[in-house]
Amino acid sequence: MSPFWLSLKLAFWTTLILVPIGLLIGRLLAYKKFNGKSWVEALVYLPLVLPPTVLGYYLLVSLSPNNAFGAALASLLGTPLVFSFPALVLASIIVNLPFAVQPAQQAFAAIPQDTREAAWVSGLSTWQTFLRIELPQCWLGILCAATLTFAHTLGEFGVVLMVGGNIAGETRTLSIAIYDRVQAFDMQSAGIMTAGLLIFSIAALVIVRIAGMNSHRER
Amino acid sequence: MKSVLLAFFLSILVVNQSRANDAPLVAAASSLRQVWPLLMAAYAPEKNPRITFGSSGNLSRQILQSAPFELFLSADQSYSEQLYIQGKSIDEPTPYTIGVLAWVALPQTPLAHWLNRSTDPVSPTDDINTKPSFPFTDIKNLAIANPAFAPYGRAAMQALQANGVNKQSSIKFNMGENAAQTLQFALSGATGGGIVPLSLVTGLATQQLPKIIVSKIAPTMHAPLIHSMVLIDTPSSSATSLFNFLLSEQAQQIFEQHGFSAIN
Repeated sequence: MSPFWLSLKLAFWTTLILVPIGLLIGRLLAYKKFNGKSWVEALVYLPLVLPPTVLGYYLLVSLSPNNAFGAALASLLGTPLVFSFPALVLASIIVNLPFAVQPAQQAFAAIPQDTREAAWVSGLSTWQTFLRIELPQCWLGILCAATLTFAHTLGEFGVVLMVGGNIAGETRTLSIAIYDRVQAFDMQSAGIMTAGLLIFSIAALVIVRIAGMNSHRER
Repeated sequence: MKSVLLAFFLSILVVNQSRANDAPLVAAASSLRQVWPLLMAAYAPEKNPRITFGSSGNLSRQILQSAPFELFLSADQSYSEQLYIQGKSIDEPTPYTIGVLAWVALPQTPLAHWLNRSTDPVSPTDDINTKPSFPFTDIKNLAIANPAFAPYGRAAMQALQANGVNKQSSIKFNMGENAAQTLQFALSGATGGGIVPLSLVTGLATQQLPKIIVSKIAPTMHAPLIHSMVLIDTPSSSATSLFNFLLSEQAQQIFEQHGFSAIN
């Protein structure tokens, strides 16, 4: 599998798994007050400031079959997790947590409290309110979360290199392939791949901006 | 939550299928980067091996941490020996070629001037009075591979010490993660040049590079870089036949023609 498709596959799985998680955590942070909420928020946003190598180090050490946890996980899955595609998915989910949670949290917080109360007095359960009232109003936030997660996963480097190494067809994503091509003095291939990532990143941000503007206009 | 777990395990299934691929997974020292396509052209396997280049130390660490490689081509003996000792390999390391160090510099740099004035600048037999001494004051920094995990970096450090350069010298070292990155650093123009594998700056390899001054370093200046390899765990037949090919006369000739020297 070429680095291009591998990166798309990684971004696809990460987005698919992370967006629902981001919705749940985002909604929790937007509506609920509980003890230690600041701590939960700090943990969720930690990947924004934490160097990817720090996260990579912890993942590498904890998932390696050289320790008890990693060994148990390896025997459960039948294959060690480090230096494999699933390890990249796991790492990407953690790294992208803030990118999925933040837009969702903002979108939920922007729904007026009286709209939700109106739904409740109309006899809708919390679950029905979520599905029929909240979700339709924050779909632009969800789009933002998905786009940011997808684009950010494509560009991930440090944690991918540490947890996945550089294995063709398995963990050699687009950004790792660029690094690899530069070391081989193959500047042409590196140039094509970087241009592709640049264009994609700009497109992703434009989508996020437009979605953001529309969500303000709707209100 | 259930769907999340399901999706995750599905992705693992998808990956396991892709692993059932009979192209062997090879981890190789980055000194082999330029010679590898030539070796593969001669070998012409049904499926090209999937190769990962890096520093020998880094790759052997990854293998110890269960990276799924089947064949490890080290740039020295210690890292493949370690895999054997730790039980990752059934057989002891097999030498397949010997590495050669080279100075590399962009033209018109102080290092290039020094290299041009002394044909073999670091030979120990040279009369110290006839050769210009290493231009300490003119060279601010040098690119070498990181000696902590790259055999060529370790050898470069030994060659430098033999030349009077040591850690106390005012030269700053720009340390590459592996030999290939070191070359990239050395030719970036930001460093005064560097010490790299001859195999990366010789013959066909130079076509992609800017115009450079290359000067071979005498093998007596450092501990020999005996490249040795090990098959990992239970290798596939394609990995084993690749192992045998690298020892064949044909492969050995290619190594010798591209910046390596013969075993024995």
